[in-house]
Amino acid sequence: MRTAYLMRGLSVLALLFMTAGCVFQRSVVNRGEQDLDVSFIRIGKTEYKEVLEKLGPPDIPLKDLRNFHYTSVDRRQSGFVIRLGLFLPFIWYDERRIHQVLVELDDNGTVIGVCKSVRHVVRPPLESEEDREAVYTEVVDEESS
Amino acid sequence: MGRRSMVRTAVAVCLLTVSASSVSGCLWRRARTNIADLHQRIGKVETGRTTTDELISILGSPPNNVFAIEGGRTVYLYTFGDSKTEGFNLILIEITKSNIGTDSAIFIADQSGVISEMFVSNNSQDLPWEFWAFGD
Repeated sequence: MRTAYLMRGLSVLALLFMTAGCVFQRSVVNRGEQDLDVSFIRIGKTEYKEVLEKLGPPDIPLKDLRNFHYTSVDRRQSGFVIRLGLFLPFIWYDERRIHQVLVELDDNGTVIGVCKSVRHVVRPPLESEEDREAVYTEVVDEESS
Repeated sequence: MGRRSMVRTAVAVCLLTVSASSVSGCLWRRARTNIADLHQRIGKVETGRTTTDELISILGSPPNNVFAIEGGRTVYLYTFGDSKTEGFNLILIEITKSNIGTDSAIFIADQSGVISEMFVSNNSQDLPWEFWAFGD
């Protein structure tokens, strides 16, 4: 009798351990670099010093002072998980550089080009590719500045 | 209370305790990259006075990258960051969110080795703890 009761209890415990669950994770990198205002930049006139003072140093490590790359990344993951570290192959994720600004400079440190893009991240399988908004890209050139 | 009843109660309590501790809980996780208090240390750097040797001493480590630019000047680059993750697990559902900030500090030294310009980003400053993984 006692053995049967123990076995029943252990079975319940095992079921609880094995309970499948849903996992939703998200990570956002450099939220502060979303919607950077580059309207102050004038092609051929603005210098690196003003860019660094107003936008700060770029998060992507520099190798020279020829281009500054600012990014914000959003990663959304959903999963169907069995416990005890045993994962079913049902994990979806989407990761995008949702905001990017690239500032190009010449040898003298003067801005020669600016490109800004915005992407949309979805949460599969709850959202599909159709839910993804179109990529928005803006190139600030001499005429527009 | 009979002996059998006591055994049942003890087993039930054990099962509940083990179950509760294994299938639900909250999570807080923090990870700092490179120098944790770099923003505070940078406050001691004075442009026009601090030399590159003093810079390394103040910041406590060599830079992540060094390269030369126009005019015989040298750029000292430091990268650092912070990450805060919060989440909870309620048996059938687990939700976590990480906020990550990566920063750079740029120090430009003139030909005599004195820091003439410095620029620091603040992405890793005041990162919020958040667990809600949905929405914008």
